[in-house]
Amino acid sequence: MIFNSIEFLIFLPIVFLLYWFVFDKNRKAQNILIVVASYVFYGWWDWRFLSLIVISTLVDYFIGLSLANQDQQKKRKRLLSLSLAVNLGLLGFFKYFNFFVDSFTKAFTFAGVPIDSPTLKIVLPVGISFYTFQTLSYTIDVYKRRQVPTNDFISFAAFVCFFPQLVAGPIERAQNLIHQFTAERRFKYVDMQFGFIRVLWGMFKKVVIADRLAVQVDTVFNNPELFHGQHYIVASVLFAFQIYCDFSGYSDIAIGTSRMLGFRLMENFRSPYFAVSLKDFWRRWHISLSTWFKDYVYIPLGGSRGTAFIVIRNLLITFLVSGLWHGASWTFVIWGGIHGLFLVIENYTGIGNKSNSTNWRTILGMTRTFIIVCVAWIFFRANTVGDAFYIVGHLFDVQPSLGVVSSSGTLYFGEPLWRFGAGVLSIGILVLIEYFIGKGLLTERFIVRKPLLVRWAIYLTLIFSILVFGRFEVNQFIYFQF
Amino acid sequence: MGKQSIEKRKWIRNGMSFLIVSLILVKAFEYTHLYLARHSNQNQTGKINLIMAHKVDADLMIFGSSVSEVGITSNLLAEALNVEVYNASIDGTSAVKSGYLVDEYIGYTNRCKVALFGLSAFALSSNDQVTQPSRFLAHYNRNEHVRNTMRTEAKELYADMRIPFYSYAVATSDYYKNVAFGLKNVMRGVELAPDNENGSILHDAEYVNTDDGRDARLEPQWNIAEKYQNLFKTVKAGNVLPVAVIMPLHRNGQKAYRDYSEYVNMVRRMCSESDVSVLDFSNHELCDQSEYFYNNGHLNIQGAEIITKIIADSLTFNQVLKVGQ
Repeated sequence: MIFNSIEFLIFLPIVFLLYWFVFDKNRKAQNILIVVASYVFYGWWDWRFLSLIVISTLVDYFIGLSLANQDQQKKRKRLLSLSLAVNLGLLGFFKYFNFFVDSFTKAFTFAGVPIDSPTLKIVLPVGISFYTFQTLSYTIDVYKRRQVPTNDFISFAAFVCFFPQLVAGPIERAQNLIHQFTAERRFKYVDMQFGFIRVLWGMFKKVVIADRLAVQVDTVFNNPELFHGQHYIVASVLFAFQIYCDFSGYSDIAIGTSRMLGFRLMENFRSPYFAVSLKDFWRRWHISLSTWFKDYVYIPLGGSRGTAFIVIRNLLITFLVSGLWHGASWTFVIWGGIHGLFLVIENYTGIGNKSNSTNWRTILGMTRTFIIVCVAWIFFRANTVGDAFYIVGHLFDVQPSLGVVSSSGTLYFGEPLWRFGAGVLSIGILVLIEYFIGKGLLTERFIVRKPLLVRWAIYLTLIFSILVFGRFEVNQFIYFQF
Repeated sequence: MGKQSIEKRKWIRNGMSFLIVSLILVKAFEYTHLYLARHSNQNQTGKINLIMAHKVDADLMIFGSSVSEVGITSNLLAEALNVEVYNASIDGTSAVKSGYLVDEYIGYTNRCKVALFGLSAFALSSNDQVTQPSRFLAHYNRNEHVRNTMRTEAKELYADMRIPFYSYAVATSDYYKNVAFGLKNVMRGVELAPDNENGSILHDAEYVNTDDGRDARLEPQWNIAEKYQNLFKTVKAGNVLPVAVIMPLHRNGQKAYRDYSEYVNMVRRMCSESDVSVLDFSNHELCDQSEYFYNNGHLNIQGAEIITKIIADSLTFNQVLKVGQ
């Protein structure tokens, strides 16, 4: 089930009413409802893959308990290894089997030793990267004694499969979320308001901005040879906003829905395109993932301690793995590599160091960071590595016109000028709103403190914008594939 | 009373009030935009509106897709035959997929004598979708012919349209453009009427080979031929003579078929079983002349002129249309 579907529009109120008006006296019953609802939510897509969530839940629950009762380091390590093997094994098989087999085959063929490859028809379970990382973080934290294991199985199961953030995050840590399942919940009117406005805003970003920009972006990236440098540049910028609105829109809906159920999830984005350096960007973009990689990959590798070589190695490994996490394709690995490389450069040149920033330096930093991020997005979005290099190689093959003459008239990124203009305008509005949000001038609190009629006017404006300007033919969120 | 209960009561009171107000506003807006869309005289929506409002009638009516929309020139045909002609072809959709237009039109016409069915290369190919349902959205809940056509031709859409407010999900930016045109017409008191070209759209463009064999899967389906036969029956029941036209397809486009003659033979069989005349341009010399097409499936203005004249001659020769009878 996806957030921008009719099914979810029916599903959520039912869960909400049962949760607050039928099972509100019993926390355990509320948790059971969450587990059942989450399984329905996930199984709506393909019930067979629920088994993977159940396996992860059972394995990490019992390993968590065993770790608590085990003092011998050797046995504790074995338990952790078992959890890693099961979780990463499932992830590796379903997501990376064909990628690695294919890559090995190509490598051998390239070396003049052609081999047959046993690729399988494997369906990628939606959200497997997200819930796998979430459960892994629990086991690792228990192993490191940063987290006390829970003996409440239902709470743990709810933590693993909590439907608002199950398939595309934010990737929550046990320290933040699991205790919320064991604590009493209170119905707060203000939480409902906060949640509602957040859900509407997320939906607006997804169906009004992201899905509309997708048409223009897809037109260029699916047929790069038909376009020129000016199109690639604009399409990369449009994609930057498409993916931001798509993914942060999902996070907003997840955070808002959770808030309405009495849970507080971590923020996943903080106006990332206002970042003055790549380091800053990663403090603002997909925060739940970047902190996950920092805590569970970068720091265990040694972090920024050690020689320059070690630090560079750690950074590059972390970002290459992060790229691979996004998808079983070399385009994502290269995307991660670009980020890693520029972070290394920033680290050793002091570029983007906030302490010496002035106004013009801030603007320069933002522009520089945005350009690097957009170039990296080309690799992220391109259908193949070949396409990505073709686009990058022709970035400066610029011609004066953005329009392309076709049998349907002059089209701008596959659409009439007014629709392309509307897309650009929507980005302008978004940037303005993000600016005010970033300055703390436009928050949920600001809205809920307004008189009833003003609040309703804001809600209705968003609802009508979604209904009238939203694009409903494309449903999937980009990050579902990861 | 506990604090929780007070909060819940507040939520129920405010939430329900907001829900009711929202539903009323959303419904009112839906009613308004559907009303205005019905008054648009632009493009395909305009054509559909004309027929649904019974504002067009002609001696000869043309049904089909873009291939007949651009390939048969209403005014030229009207001039040659000295009758009224209207081209009700809807681009991107076959006569079967827009069968509701045939049903509605035959139900009210007092004038029509001939219904010309322009058959494109896709006419007998299977597809469970309709192109741009927002074009007929304004008539969906008001016209049973539209619903009946969708029930068989677009099952998924038919199921979804039962969901309240689903019209918002179907409405596209082009639809809202029609709403704006409708508003303009309502405010100016403009009545719906056929355009100057009487439904035909003429393309003055040079040929581009667009297919490259990409649609090599094209295969004619007999079950679709049977649907045409039902349309022929409907037309005959209204005392109108159906005539099928196999529109010219550029030789490069014919390659998209595994066996193009299979399609042509199926059309011939379909018409023969229904006792319907066929004008067959499948092997006309035009199919080898790129200067008469603007892509593989569509004739340009020069090609349309040639085909229209041949159609007119053929109808005259066979005395199909006798004005004043």
